Amino acid sequence: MTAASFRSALLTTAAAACLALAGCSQTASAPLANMSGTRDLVTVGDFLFVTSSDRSELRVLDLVPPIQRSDEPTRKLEFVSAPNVLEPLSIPVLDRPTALARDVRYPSAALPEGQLAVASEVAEVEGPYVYAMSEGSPEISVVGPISAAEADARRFAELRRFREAAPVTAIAARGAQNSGDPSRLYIALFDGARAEIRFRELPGLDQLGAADEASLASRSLGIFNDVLLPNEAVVALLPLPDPNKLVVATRSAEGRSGRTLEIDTVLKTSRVYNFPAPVRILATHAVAVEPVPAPTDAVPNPDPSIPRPVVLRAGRYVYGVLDESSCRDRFQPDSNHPAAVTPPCRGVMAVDSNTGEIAHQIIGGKDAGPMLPIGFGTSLPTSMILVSNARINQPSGGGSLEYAVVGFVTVATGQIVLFEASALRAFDIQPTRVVNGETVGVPTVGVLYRKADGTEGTYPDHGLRTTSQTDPKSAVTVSEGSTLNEIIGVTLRGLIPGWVGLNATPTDPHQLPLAPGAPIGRLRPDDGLELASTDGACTGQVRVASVTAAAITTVEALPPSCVGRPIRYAVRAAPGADNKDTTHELWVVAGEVSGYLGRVKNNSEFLPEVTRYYTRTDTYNAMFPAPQIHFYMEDGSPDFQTGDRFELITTSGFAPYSVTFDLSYDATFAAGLAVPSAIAYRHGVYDGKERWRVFISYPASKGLLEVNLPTLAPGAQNTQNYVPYR
Amino acid sequence: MRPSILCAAALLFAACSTYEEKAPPAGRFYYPTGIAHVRSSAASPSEDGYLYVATSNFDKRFAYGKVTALQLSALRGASTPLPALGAGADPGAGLPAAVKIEDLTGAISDEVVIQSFAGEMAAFAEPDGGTRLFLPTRSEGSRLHAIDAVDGTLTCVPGGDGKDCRPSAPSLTEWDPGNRVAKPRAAEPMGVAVSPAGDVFVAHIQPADNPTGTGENFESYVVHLRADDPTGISADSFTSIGQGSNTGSNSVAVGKRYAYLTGRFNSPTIRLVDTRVPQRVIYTSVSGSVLVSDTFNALDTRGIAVASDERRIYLATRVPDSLVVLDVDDPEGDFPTIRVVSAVAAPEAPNALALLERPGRGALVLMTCTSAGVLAVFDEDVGALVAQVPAVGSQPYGLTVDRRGNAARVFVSNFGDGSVAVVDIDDLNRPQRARMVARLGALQTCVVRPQDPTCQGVTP
Repeated sequence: MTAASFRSALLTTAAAACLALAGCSQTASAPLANMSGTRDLVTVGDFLFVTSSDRSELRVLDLVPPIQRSDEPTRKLEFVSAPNVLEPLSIPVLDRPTALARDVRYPSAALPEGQLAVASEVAEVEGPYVYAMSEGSPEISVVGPISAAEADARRFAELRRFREAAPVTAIAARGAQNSGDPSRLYIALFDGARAEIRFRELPGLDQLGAADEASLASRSLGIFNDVLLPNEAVVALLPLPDPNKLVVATRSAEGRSGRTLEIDTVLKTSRVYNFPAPVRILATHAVAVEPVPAPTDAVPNPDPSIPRPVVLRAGRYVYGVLDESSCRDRFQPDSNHPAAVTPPCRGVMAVDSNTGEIAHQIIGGKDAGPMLPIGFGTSLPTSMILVSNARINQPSGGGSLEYAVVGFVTVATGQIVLFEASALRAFDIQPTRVVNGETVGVPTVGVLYRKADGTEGTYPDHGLRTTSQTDPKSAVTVSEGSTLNEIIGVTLRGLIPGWVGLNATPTDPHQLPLAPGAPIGRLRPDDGLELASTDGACTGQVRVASVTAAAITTVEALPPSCVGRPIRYAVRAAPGADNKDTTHELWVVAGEVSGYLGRVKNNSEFLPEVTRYYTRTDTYNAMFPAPQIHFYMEDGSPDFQTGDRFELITTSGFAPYSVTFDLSYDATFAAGLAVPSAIAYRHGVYDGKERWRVFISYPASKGLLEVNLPTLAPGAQNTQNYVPYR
Repeated sequence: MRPSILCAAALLFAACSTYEEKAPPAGRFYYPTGIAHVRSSAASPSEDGYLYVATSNFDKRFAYGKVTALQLSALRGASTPLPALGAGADPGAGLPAAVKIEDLTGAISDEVVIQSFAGEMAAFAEPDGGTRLFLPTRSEGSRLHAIDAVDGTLTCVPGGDGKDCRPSAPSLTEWDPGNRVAKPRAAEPMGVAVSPAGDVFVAHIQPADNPTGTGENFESYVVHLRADDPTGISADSFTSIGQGSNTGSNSVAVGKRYAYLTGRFNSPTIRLVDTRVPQRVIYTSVSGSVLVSDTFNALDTRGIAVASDERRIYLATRVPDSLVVLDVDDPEGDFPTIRVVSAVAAPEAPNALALLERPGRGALVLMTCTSAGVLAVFDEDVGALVAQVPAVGSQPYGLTVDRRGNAARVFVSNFGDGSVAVVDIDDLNRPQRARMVARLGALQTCVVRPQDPTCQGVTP
């Protein structure tokens, strides 16, 4: 066989294999790109750039689908091919790229709220360059088409590789504002002691090749670097739509400190964004116009090309993912509920760039106060984007609908969470509504009585009242937005959360020293201190006389065996009070998620010491917010025993817009869906169909998923309407 | 160098065996894994200390593995000397290339024989100033070796003939030869750690089935021994860490109260074994209700490092490749609270971790990345990797640190090529200046693949 005939045979075989693969596949799949390390992805025009970090390369997915075959269930995209068309293009870049940036500009950044605009005409514009960095590396790769010629539009390459003087910690880029303007790449460096923000300006594609190194050299942002403190590193950069403004998020002291600053490169000023905690991911949005309304009988096909009022100017809200490292020393010992932390240190929040303060929610035309953190439980957000005028499946069903700004967050337990960024709140996929004559989507509560030994008892005639036949106020009530899915225990003479398993070394027989920050407001005179030591020498119980921030003073002296040595202790509510007592708060109220809620006497009404809202729905009353839970405790029964408890099983009536994917037919891909790392968005008309697509990278799957948003089922594991790529 | 020791070792390997055993090649490492650096005792003239390296004999080309003691000061006088820490680090002067010291014969002060498939190595500082090394091996018998190391002289514990540690190393699967039981047993021990008080904990990969060989009723354990009684194994030495096929562990770290275990192959990301309450294991992290895997869903966890105050834990995970940072509240309490606070992308296949704490600054975390061939440095103040030392070798596995004030010399065992990389960080406040300064040991290519074209004329 000659070389030529061998090649011909090879091509024939390969082509046959391709046809076989295409024809037999039951699920749409693009030719394998053999990616490894799909850490980040960005869209630029009709292309999606993906890191293949372990191979130190980028791959490019062409977002314009080829002509769909009639026997294919879903049209599939293809990776841009290499000069050898049988192979997908590999763009070698710096070693192990982990993060990408792209040029972005906002063509109508100055368009004020209230002006009329068409969403598609004010959307952000990307390109021409994509930038790649790697944590710990001083290098940056610049990737783009090899020239501005239309014939080269799909011929991508690393056009330049820059080397900075110190490792790069963050990059972001601003696209050319006007024809002939350069792209500006912002670069944050950290040399181990000081951070510095620099920038490089890159001319257009047609001039980059001829540009000399001096013209591309990085330059310091100058005076703005003076605001950065020693040992303060820059973790995120965000160019605002206003071409003069850049937002900088910093971190220091192991993440316990950090700031978010907006700097104006023309006025040479800076101001602080008052996030309640350091921020590690930043995002903003393009102009958002009033969403296209849902179809009605009168207007069955609303025209998206009709100009509508701008509801949010570009960059009005700057969202940040709070750095969870800052929670250290800030969480309460008895609660993992995010809202229990004051101030918040987890979740997503927004600053209003008009004021630099946390953006205020408007509900029913009234200011409801600063937005609440959009939480993800204990899960860790891995990326965030904001999309203006995105169409998604409505949270409550009923087909797809456009929203002014939708936020997308990928979290490290596999979910993609959507939130209503323009309304500064989470979507609720269980909204309050009437279904078959029944109101659903509201919080609920059930009550049972459990004896101290853990067995369920017959509900007693005494204790917590469950009906409200005589006094509507005395029924057990819960409220949407603050009531959680949990069990709240109301325990007779119970141990007090935050006061269990504590260590102390008392030296005064009438005083027990306290650690700073101990929740002393939970203790009352006559509460009981239960004493113990590891070797069993110290035992006993004494009563609380009074409490200060420094110490508990006891009524009785501590046993001598408990003085002058390390002991452990717990505090129990009024152990000496009898069941009929009405002077001591002998019932302790605590939720398994909410933690300590308060204490209550017999014959008293219970309201939590603090009601913490995690979201505000349309029913929220800013003037008189309803308590998380409310009930009435009647007189005690002589039959009650210490440790008996009423259990309030509450449901929130709230569920976030969270989605996952089921790829169980592909075990390898499915296993890697556990941790999505990044998300990108592209809206456009393809094959005559309008699509709102997101692409999600999964490094453990060595691939990514494509989803058309209006087909995404909220609150569910989606088993179809996605396309995997590897 | 001590010729008498070398001769004794050579005689031991060559002639003292009861049958002809093929010894691993001399003067080098072979599939090195566990590694520990130990400063010399006060009486030693060496300032560089000793490096102890396990040859794992991973392909079983030879009859056994070994532990090699390397007198680092001897390498300073080699024909191609090991540079002093910080030498040539002047950024303005241009950085010299890493030196290659292939023949280590002149610096090897001692060797002892161990089973094949060595895992991690832990060093315990004994009250008398000596060091006791602990080293699990995964081949026949799943043994735990204890070796006394005093200024480069190695002695098996308990003594025996002193240089072949295999007979005296207790089996973690057949620990009671008179009454062989299916459970408890700890097959394929991999991780080991010793507390300052001398409590030794061993993690094992392969869950034990019951009856043996049935593939049913799997259960995994952590083995607890005393450093001063390394053969004292009984059923009480085993604490169950879970039932099922996905319960094995890879590595372990020891704190003041808890031993922290990582999970291999879809096992729980982290488990806490209470050293004060026998058989108490905490599988969950937040008030007994939330798994770490409910926060960060990694499927495979390898190395672990714990801050000295135990308020922060670092995990090397795979699927996806990450360095995961956990905050711990009340680490000595009955119910410590653990939360994932950060996860950064790691170069491919992260494995071992080591912590460098800095006064007044956040810690540095060193991480070997096996498939990437990288030693990565994470800076707590930045919350990101701040250095990636590339091409430290093929399949970097273990690492150990010689800390000297505000500088550090890092030794990395390169499993895939048989070498040990030496990486210097001359200023811990400038971790980006980490650079490889030397490679110790001849590459094992020509041992593994003598037919390789580059090996023609080379004597392996």
